[in-house]
This record gives sequence, C-alpha cells and structure tokens, in this order.
Amino acid sequence: MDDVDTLESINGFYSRVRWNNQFKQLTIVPKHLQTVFDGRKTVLEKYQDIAGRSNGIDESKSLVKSENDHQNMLSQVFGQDSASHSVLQRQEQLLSQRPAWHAPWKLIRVINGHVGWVRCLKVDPVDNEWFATGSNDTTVKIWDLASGKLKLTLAGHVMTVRDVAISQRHPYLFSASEDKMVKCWDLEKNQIIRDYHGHLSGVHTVDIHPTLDLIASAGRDGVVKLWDIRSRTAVMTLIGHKSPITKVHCLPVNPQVVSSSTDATVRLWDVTAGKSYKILTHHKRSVRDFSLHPSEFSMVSACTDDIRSWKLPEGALLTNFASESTGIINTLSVNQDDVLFAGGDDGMLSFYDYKSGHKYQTMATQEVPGSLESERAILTSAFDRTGLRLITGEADKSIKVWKQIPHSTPETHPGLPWAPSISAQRF
Amino acid sequence: MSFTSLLPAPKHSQSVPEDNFNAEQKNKELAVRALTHQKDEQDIERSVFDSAITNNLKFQDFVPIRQKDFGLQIPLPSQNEIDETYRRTKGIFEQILLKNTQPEAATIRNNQRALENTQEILVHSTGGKSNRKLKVIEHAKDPLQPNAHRAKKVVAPPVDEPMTPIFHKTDSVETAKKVSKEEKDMWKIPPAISSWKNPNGYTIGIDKRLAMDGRYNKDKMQAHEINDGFSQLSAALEMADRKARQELKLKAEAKKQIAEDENREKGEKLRILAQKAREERSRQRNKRSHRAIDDGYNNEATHREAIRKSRREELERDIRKSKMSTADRLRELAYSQGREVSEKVVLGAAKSTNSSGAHYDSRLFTKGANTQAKRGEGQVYDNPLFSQLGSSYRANLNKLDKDVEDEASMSAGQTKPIEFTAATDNNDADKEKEEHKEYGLSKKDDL
Repeated sequence: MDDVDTLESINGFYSRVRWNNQFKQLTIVPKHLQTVFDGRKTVLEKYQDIAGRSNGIDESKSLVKSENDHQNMLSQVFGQDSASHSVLQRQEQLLSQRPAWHAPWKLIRVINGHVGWVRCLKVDPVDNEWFATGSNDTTVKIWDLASGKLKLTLAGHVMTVRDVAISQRHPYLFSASEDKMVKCWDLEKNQIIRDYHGHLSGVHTVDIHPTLDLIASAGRDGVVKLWDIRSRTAVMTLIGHKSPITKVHCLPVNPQVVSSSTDATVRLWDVTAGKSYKILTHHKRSVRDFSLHPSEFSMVSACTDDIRSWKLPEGALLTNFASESTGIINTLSVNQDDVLFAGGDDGMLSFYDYKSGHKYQTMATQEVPGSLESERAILTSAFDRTGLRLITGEADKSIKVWKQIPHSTPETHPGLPWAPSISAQRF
Repeated sequence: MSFTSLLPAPKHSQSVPEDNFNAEQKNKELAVRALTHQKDEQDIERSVFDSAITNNLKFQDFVPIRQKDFGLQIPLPSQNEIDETYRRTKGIFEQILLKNTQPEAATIRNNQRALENTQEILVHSTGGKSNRKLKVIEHAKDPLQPNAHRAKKVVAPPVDEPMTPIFHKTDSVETAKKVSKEEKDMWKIPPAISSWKNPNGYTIGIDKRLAMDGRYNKDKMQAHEINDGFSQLSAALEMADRKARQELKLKAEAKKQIAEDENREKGEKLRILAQKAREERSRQRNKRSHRAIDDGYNNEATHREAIRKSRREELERDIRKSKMSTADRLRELAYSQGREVSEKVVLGAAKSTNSSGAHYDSRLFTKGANTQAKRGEGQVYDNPLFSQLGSSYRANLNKLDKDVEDEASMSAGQTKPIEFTAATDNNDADKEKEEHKEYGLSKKDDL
C-alpha cells in the first residue's frame, strides 16, 4: 500500500512539474491580448477588476489613500474621455462659464376682447404690424400690434380654434379647429376660401411649409397630414405617434416636419421617405410645445419640469435647462437675443438664457380682475418679429403684452443667481 | 455568461475571495473566447435585446453638447441646402399629387391593363378536332357602387421602424411607491358627490353627503365644519327677498292708487259731459214745446198736420221696431224708460274683464305643486288615478277664482262697468224733473 501511495505522489508531482514546464507561461496573458480583453469588458467588470486590485494593495501595503486614486480609477474605468462621464467634472465645466445677462420683462398691456380662452397666437411674419389669435369662442381675431386695437374678427369655425398659421408667401391664414377642420382664409377678402377635411378628430395644430405649397396639420388622431394648399388633398400622412399630437412645425430643410406629442416624444420626419428619422425620447411626460430658434438651427422642447434644446438636423441634446419644479409648461418661445420664454399652466412666466439654460427671471402673470384662480394658465405665446415684445394668450381670456424693462443693467437687475445644481444635469 | 454574473456582489457578503475567484474565472472565459471565437460569431451570440440597446444607446446621448462651451455656433441652413431640398421634395410631392388628382389617367391605365389582361385561351374540345377560343374579360364595375366591405374603424397601419431606445427614466420607480390608505380614501368619490354615479342629479342634503363621504366620517378626523358663510348667504338672500317683496308691494299699491285717481277723474269728466248734453236736450225740448204752445191753437191745419206727422212717425217707428234686433230693441226699451244702456250690457258681455293674463285653466288648480310631474323611469302614468279624491292639498277653488277675478279687475283699473245711469239719479236730474213739473207738459215717454 505504501508503495502505491508513494508511486501516486511521485506521479502527481511529476505531472505537476510537466504541466508547469509546458503551460506556465499561458497563465499570464500577453499584453496585446490583455488590451483586447479589456476592450471587451463592460464598465462594471472593469470597475470590479480595479476595485479588487486596489483592495489587495490597501490591505497589504499602503495605509494612506491618495486622492489621485479616484481620478485614476475614473480614467481606467471609463477610458480617455472620462471628463464627459464624470458628473463632477462636467459640473466644474459648467460652473467655469457665465450665462449671458438679459434684461427682465414686465407687463405693458392687457388686451381683452375674446370671450373664451386664447388658445393660439401668431404674429404677422411679413411686416410685423398685426397678430392673430384663435380662441375657445370659435373665432379668430386680428389685432393691431402697436395699439392693441381689434382689427378684424373671423368667424367660421364651430369649435375651439386651436392653432393659426399665417403664410409668408400668400395672403392666407390657416386655422385649425377642434371641429376636425383646417380652414384657409383669404386675408384680402376676409373669407374662407378652402377647407381641408380629412382628420378623424380635432385638429390641434397647423403649419405652412416655408418653401413648398404644403401645409401640415395634426391633432388628436395622432397623424400628421400634409395637404396640398391648392388642391385640398392630403398628399401624405405621417404615421408614428401613439398619442394626440400637440404641435407640428415645418422647416425648409430636413427635418422638414417636426412634431411633438403627448406620448412624450418629439419626432423629426423625413418627408421624402415618409417616416421619422429621429425620435427624441428624453422627455418623460407629454411634450406640449416646442419652438425653433430664429437665428440658429436648433429647437427647444418642453414637458412637465423639463426643458431641453436640440441641435438640428440630427437631434442631438444641446442643453438641459434649469427647469425643475416649473410645473406643466404650455408654451415656449425663443427670440433672436437668446431669450427663452416658458409659460406655465399655473400662470408662471419663466425666462431662460437659451445658451446656458439658466433661468434668470420667473414671475406670476397679472390676473385680470374678475377672473377665477383656476384661469391662470398661459396657453400660448409669441415674440414679435423684432423679439422685443412678448405676447401671451391666457386662460383668463386676455392677451398680454410684455416688454423688457428699459435702461436696466446687470447691476440694477441682476436676475436669479447662476447656481446650476448637479441634479439639473439629469445624468 | 448570465446577467446575474454582471451584477455586483451583495453588499455584506463575506465571500471576497470567491468574488475574486469569479473574476478570475471570467477573465479566463473571456480569454478563451477571444482566442477561440471569431468576431462575427460573437455578434450572433449576443441577444437581440442586447444589440438593439447597446448599438443605439450611448452615454453621449445624455450629455448636453453645449455644456462644454456655451458659445457653440450652430449656423442656419444655407440657401443652397434649402434650394436643393426644395427641388428634391417638390419632385416627390408632385408625383404623389399627380397620382392622387388624376383619376382619369389612372382609369385609362387600368383599362389598358385590363385589355392586356384579356387573354385568349384555346380550348381543345374533347370530342372533335375543332378548337374554340375563350376570351377572359374583366367584369365591368360600377364606379359609384359602394364598397362591399365597409371599414368601420380606421386604424393606422403598423409602422416598421427600428426600435428606439427610451432616454428617460420610466415611471416605475415612482409608481412603486406605496399609496397609503388615507391617500386612497382621499381619491374615493362617494356616489352622492360624483356626477357620474348620480346621473339623475337627485339633490342630497349636504349633511347626508358629508355623512357618506369616506373622508370625514372617520373618528380620527374632525367633523367637517360647514362654513358659516353658507348660513350668512342664505340669511342675506332671505333678507333681500323680503325687501324686494316689500318694495314690489309698495309699488303695486302706488300704481293702484294712481289708477284709481285717474279713473275717478275720467268718470267725473264723463259725468259732466253727460250732464251738459242732457241740459242741452232739455233746453231744446222746452223751446220746441213753447213754440207748439205759441202757434198750435190758432192754426188747425198745422195741428192736423202735426198729428198726421206724429202718426206717420209712429208707424215708421213700429216698422223699425219690428225690424230691429233684440239688442236694439232692448236699448230702445231702456231709452224709453229714461235709462242709458251701454253697448256691452246689452250684448251681455259686461261681465268679462279685459285683462288677458287671467285666463287660468281651472284644471291647473286641481294639481298640487308638481305632484303629477313625471319623476323617474319607473313611473308609468304621469298623473294619479284618483287625484280629486286623494289629494289633501286641494286648492280652494272658489277662493282662488275670486282672488284671480279681484286681481284682474284691479289690474284693469276699472272697478265695474257702467251699466245703467238712471236719469233721476242725481240732483241735475231732479232739477230737470222739477222743470218738467213746472211746465206740466213733458211726458216720460218722450224722454
């Protein structure tokens, strides 16, 4: 028995020596292979590796933990561009810059005349002399911009007028209504000259293509319809949204149609292919409005407590605005001076610097005497062509005109402090 | 490799060496795979879910570009780009429009296609050698005939688009939050308050509603206090109501007074006029009788003539009387008795009032306030069978009628129609009588 044991032990020892001789070098992975493996590892695995290694070191040798360790680990785990991954470093980057200063805004005029909510508002794009509003009282009214006097009332819809669009190339005004109709008004004769019939439910929004003779309309039935203006036929139907569409906008280049919906997405459409080439899903709640920058190829969209701007045409995230706890945002407007206006459902006006996302002014709207507390919402807004006046349409049936306080300086009106929080980065 | 192996080790686990061992094991696995597998094979190995997410989801999508540099310039599209897009899109839309708006062209094309489709088939008859030709022609359709299959619901066709990753936190974290019982109760709307559960709109007292409300009948919660504004409001309303009523009453009284005054004045005026007329008549009569006395006796012929004339007149009167209507005869009679009779009395219409508002249907009063109104679905008849007998709230019809009449007459501003005015009623008439007595010639019949 002893002989057998010794024989076996000798055999085992021999085989171990042989294995060591033959395969010892294979237990250590060569460097070029190691880099390949590391490249395939996920962030979590890398972290585990490094954490394990550093733990071993800590236990055995160094009692003092160097500050550099943290940085090292970041760069090792995330690779070279760790700066963009690290929340803290991005925060530092953000804090090192200053947002531009803008003069604060104040109310200069209240215009009454509608007998229902003012749902939409557009400024004359040609000579900036008048603006049109559509209301829950089924009428479209045209007002003089300088004096605030009523110029014209267009009645023809049977339900709330949800959107109007004024053409730059024709003497036409288009209005979309909850009665499923889009109507074309001739502003020379002040008559309805065309109806665009085909939506299955109320139409919420309409816009005119800047170069083609097309209009885009969309509404509760969740499709964007492109109509040929003259022949009144629906040329194309863009299907994809899963909920009512809140706003549609046409651009001369791709994306030629942009639409936002209550399914919390913004879609950038490629109309030549008839489908959306980019879906922006960063928003969590229904996107009630978006707006395009007049002098830059970018847009800004908003959902509850969340405003973001996007680079066009690819739809990359540009800025997260400091918009926590703003509540439901009904309307957005941007002017040439990089002022973003957001009108809330609770009657709060907030003004942001477009580039930095800094909120520099917030105030409550001035209530019209006799209005209820529930009628505070700001439903629509627009800057005039110069960007110097802001017009808002509100649920208290009034139209309000706002202007920047003259002779204000950064010293006299510093605005809200620039203090971006880490949570505002949202990642 | 499983997903669980990717998760970090439990926080308080003591198995650090095992973890290290696992990591080593994994390293080995990776090494072996890297050495043995081809690259595309590995891609296939990855699950569809993995690839869809990892290919589209990049961390950079979450990082705002402008955070690094606020001065980032994004120029507007150039005119060239715009023109180019315009040309491209216009072509496409023109094509679509052409297709849509020119059905004639389409039908022509269809016809052509149909012509092409007509095939000639040679049929070899089984018996003889003669071959027959068969022509297949498409059946002509009525273009106006409605579609046999009616699409009831318009459903958007499914869109085949690549899966898009969702770049926002889902609500699952928030919805996982436990809702406490109190919060749940706060959302519970009792049927008494809900307008959905009380579609008939039965009014329910506020105290009962509160008793039914789950939020307030709890012991731990204080009883809901009814704002004393309600009582103040009702008191104020009552006050205002009373005041308004009083004012109305005063106003009505004043109006009545004025109407009475006016009426009296008018009556006075009429009386004076009648008096004057009567005096005038009597004066003329007197004059005539004097004249008769003066020259009656000495002229026989004229006397006879007068007698003849009176006879003739009498005859004529008789003829007229026989032709007269009852009303005229009545008037005549009254006149002969020295009375003035108004037209209305003669016609028997004097009793009617000229107020238009007082035409009540007496049947209205047999019904109590809204007792017979149809209440609900369950009620078959709109009024009960024995309404006359059963109702203990029957209105006192006689009293009501009288009230209505009184009111009507009051509003008419006329106390009573003037029916008869006896000539002997007043002092003037008496005087006249005295005059008659003096002369002793007047006959009552003549009057």
